[in-house]
Amino acid sequence: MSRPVDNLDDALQAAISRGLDALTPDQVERLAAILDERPDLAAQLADRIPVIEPQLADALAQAERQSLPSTGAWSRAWDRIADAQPKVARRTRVGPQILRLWRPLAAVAACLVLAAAWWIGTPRPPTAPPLRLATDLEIDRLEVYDGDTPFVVSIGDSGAVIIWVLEERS
Amino acid sequence: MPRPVHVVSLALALMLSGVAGAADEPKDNRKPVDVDIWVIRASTKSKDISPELKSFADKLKQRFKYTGFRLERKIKETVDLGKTLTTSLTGGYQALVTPKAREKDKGAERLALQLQVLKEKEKKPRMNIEYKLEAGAFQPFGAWDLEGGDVLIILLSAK
Repeated sequence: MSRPVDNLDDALQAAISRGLDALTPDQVERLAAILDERPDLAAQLADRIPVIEPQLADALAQAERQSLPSTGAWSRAWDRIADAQPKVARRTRVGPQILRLWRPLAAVAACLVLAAAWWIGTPRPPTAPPLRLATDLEIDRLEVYDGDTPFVVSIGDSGAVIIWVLEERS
Repeated sequence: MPRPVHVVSLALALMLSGVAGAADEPKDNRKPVDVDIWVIRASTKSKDISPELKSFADKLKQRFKYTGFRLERKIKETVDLGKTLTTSLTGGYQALVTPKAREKDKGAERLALQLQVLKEKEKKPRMNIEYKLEAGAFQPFGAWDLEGGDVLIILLSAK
């Protein structure tokens, strides 16, 4: 009959080499109770048992390999990033572009204001030259229709007059 | 015989002096006269003023009730001194313009004119005036009835 330690040692070796699947549930339970009672054994076991079971380690490595992108995928991803960068950059330059448009618009507006001020301030010549009215009229004789009345009416301050005939029928 | 020769010589001398005197008269005084007549319709129903009449209309509006002044036509003719220009105005009215003489007064040229305004089918003129004024200046005359309550005004210049 083997000693419990020998059975324990076998169980430990089996756990280290093949994982806990190598033990029966009863053995696992008993091993766990022993390790609880023997902290020194637990420490030794910790030194000897790999952090990850081999099978688990293989499974994890395989999963990682599957999840890692391939080289071509990495290239395509970087290409997409590089293509997206100018668009992003353009989007971020909208503000300065709008400001650049405002400069010529402001210049045009300023020119219009100046032109309007010049037009308003510049005295414009009359559309037709003013009439030169006689200012030194000398009447030698004046006859009107029977019943009508002539008037000499001053217009303006220059001495100009109009001969106005007030008709009797008016 | 000496006496008849003296008479003939004297007569000849007088004739020659008369011709010389006539030759000394300025030729400008005989040159034809350019007559300019503007026919205007003045109205109380309109406020439209022809551009050429703007300054004139502003003066008339201060004196009379008319608010609209439309230049209906301009008449330009050249007339010899002593001859009469006859022209239609508007609304059945006619103008007879006779330049009488040219004068110089203090260096400025003046013209003596006669103006008659007649209505068709009437024998006597509505106005007959003889006057003098500075050459090239416009003299206004008015106002004769037109249809619709409007009146006729004319501006006359000669030079």
